[in-house]
Amino acid sequence: MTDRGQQLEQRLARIRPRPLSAELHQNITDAIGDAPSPLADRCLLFAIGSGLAAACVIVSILFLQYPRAGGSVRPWPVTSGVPHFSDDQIALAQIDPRFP
Amino acid sequence: MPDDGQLWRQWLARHGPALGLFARQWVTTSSDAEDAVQEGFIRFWRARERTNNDVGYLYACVRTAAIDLSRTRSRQQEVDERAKTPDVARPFAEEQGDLAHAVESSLSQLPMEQREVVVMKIWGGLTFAQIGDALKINPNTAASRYRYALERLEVLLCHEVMRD
Repeated sequence: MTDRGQQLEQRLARIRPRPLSAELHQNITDAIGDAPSPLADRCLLFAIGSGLAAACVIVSILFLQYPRAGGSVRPWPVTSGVPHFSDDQIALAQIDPRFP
Repeated sequence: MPDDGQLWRQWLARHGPALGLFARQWVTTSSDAEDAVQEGFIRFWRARERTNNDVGYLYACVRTAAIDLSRTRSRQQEVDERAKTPDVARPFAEEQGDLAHAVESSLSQLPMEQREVVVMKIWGGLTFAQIGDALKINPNTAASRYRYALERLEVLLCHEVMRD
């Protein structure tokens, strides 16, 4: 930039813009003065995230354990192995070689 | 380290007057300019952690708020009503007299794309990189707009001073 340009720049910089009003400061104070800081927001989000993660872990453990517990208990009613009324006659008939 | 309440006051004290002048490039009254600064500053403060160019983002927020407000005003056709009552509050501090008035008048004759760069650079103290970030333009483009603006301002100020 030329010397004249720099001189003009310096002259302009010496002119100060009008300060903002006290009312504007008050309005901004009302809007953000007591608002939670981004740090507080991050802490809140971290707490919520941790809670969700913990809940997911608990639910996963329960899902993993449920089939094991369920696998040892047979469903009821159990139909196989329950003798029927005519089972003995069929068994006797099966001994007979003439039975197909 | 200052707490959050002190920090935003420091930011506003540092950039507030320049932001007021910046917003004034789009709106016609000082009260509208302050409304734009308020809106933009609050928006900036709530989202400032998401950017790595704080100052540029602050100016971008105020710029958006001022443009939105000027559009709203023109839709509401309030400009005519407000123009009837002259805005006595000038964009520069009153005690600076004729030169401040001459600068105000000369600035208003520049194209908007040059005006915003001049205000950000001279009164906001932003670098061309920050200006480029705020306006979403190349820093070299910001620098050339600034150079053209200074050349034009020099001529305009000569005319203004001679006229006075």
